[in-house]
Amino acid sequence: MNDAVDAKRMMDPRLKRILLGALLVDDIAADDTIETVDLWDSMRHMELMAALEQEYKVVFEPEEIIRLTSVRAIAKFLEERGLL
Amino acid sequence: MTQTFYQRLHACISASHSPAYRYFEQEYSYAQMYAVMKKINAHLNGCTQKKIVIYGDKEFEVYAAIYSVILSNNIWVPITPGYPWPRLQGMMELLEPDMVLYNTPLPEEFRAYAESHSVALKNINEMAAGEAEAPFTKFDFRKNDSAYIMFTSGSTGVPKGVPMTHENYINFIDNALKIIPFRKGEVFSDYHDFAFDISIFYLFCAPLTGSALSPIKKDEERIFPVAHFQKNKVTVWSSVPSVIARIQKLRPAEVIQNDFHISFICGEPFRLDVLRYCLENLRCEKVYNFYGLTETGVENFYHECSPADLARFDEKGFVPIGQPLLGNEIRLNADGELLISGCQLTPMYLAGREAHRFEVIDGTRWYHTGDIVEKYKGEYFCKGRVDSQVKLSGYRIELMDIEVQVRHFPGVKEAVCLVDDSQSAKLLVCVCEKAADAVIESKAIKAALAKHLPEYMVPKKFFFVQDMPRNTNGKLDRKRIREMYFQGALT
Repeated sequence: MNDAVDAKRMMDPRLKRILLGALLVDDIAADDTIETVDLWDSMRHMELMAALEQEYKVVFEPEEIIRLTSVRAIAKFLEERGLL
Repeated sequence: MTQTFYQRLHACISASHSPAYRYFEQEYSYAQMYAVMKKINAHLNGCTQKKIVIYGDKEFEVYAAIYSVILSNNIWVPITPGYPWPRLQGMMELLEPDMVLYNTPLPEEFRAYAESHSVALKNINEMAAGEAEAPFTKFDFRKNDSAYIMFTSGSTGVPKGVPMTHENYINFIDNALKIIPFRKGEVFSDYHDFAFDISIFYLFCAPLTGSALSPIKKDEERIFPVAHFQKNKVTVWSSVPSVIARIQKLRPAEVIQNDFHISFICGEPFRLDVLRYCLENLRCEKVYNFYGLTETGVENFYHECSPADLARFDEKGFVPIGQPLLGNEIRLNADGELLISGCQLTPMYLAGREAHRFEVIDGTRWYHTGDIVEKYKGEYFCKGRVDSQVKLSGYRIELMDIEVQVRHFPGVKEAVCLVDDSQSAKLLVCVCEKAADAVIESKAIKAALAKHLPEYMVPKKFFFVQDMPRNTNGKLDRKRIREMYFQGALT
C-alpha cells in the first residue's frame, strides 16, 4: 500500500487522540505535517514519538523518527505493521 | 598573533590530506578543499576587507568559500537562506555588501537589490569549477580589521550587525584550543546555521586540529540527530542543550551509542538533568558549558562539567557558566547585570546602532550584556535578563523586534510577546490589544508576520484582548500580562 492508506484509517480515533494530545492542538487533518501544524515543533515531535511508542508498543529507529513527520507517514508506518 | 594564527590555519588546510568534510558517504580531504579555495580566491580578484555575503547551504564548496573569504582577508557575512526579503533588505541596507557568493537560488528581490546597488553576484559552484587559481600568500592581517559580521535581533525591528575583528574571535579560539583536549582527527558536528556564531567554534577548531566537519543538512536530521552522529562517527558534539534534551525526551533511560568524547554546549541555560544525560546516557567524557555573546566574540565564560556538579549545583538546577575566559574582564553593576570588556569586545554595531549598550567606565569600554549573573559556590550563574530579550533554540530574540511587526497588522493596537516555558517545549506567544470592531484571525497574522520575520520568530499562539493592562504611567504592564496568560485568563 502506498499513500493510498484511506483517509478513514488515517484518522483512526486512537491515532487522532494521540496526535491531539501530544501536539496540543484542537484538530488535525489527514494531510497535516510538521510544516503545517504550528505547534508541531521538534520537541513536540519527541512527545509524539514517545506517545506512539507507548501506545502501539513499538520502538522507532533514529531514521524512522526523522521520517515520521506527517500524519500520512505515521499512519502508513502503523498500517504496514498491522497496528492500525 | 593574528599573522601567526592565519599562517597556522593556512598550513593546516593547505598541507593536509586528512578528511575535512564528511557527510555519510561524501568525504573530502583538506587537499581537495584547498584546491577549491584557490579557485574561489581567483574570483575575489585580490581584494581585501570587502564585505562578502555567503548565502548558501552546507555543501562542501560553501565551506571552501568561507575559508577563501577569511584567508584572503575579506569580511565574511553568513546569511541563512530563507529569510523573508524585507528583513534581509534591512540587513543589506545596514551592511552595504560588496559581493554576494551563493550556491542556492537567490530570491528575486535580493538579485534585483544587488544589481541596483552594484553588488557583485557570484555562483560558488561556477567559481569552484573554474580553471584559474590564486594561492593565499599574505597573512599580515591587522588585528583590528573585521573578520566577519553577524546579525542579531534588534529591538527596533531591524537586526543589528555585529562586526568581529580578528583579535576578537581569535582570542576565543585560542582559549578553546587550550582548554579542550582535542585529539588529532576529530569529527566535529556542524549542527547549527553558519549565521549562529557557535559556527566559529567548529569552523576554526576543526582545521586547526586536523579534524573533519560533519554538517547536518536536512531539517529531519536536525530534529533527531542520532542517526547522523552515529553514522558519521562524530567525536566532538556542539549544540544548544535543547538538542540533547530532545534525545533525552524520547530515550530517557537508554544508553545512546556514539563516538563522542567532547560535548561543547552553549547558547541556552543548561539544565542539570540534561548534563546527567550527557554523562550517563551519551557517556561523554568531557562536557563543557560555554557562555558568551555575538558582541563579545562568541564565548566569554566556560565551565568544565563533572558528575559532582549534579549534587553540587542541585539547588540551582542548572550548570554554571563558570569562569571568564582569559582576555575577558567582567564587572557586575548594581542590578547584577554582567558587563564585559577586553579583547573580544566588538568595536561597535554597524552604523553605530544602539551605542547605549557600550559604556566607558574609568577609561575602559564595557558592553552591557543584559544578562543578570550571580556567584554561587565560586561559579557564575546566569539568572535572567534585565530586558525583554529571550532565547529560543539558541536564537537571541528581542521580543520588541516581533512586537513592532505585529503592531503593523490592521486592527492591532498593541502587542506583547512572551515565552511560555512551563512545558518541555518553549512556546512563543503574543497577546494583542485589538480595535473594538476588528476581527483578526491568528492564521492571517501569522502569514503576514512570516513575510517579515524568520520562522522561529513567528509566535505560535495569539490571544486578543480589548484592553491591555497598563501601569499608572500608561505603560504596558508586561508582568500583569504574563500573569494573565499563566493564570489562563486569556482566550
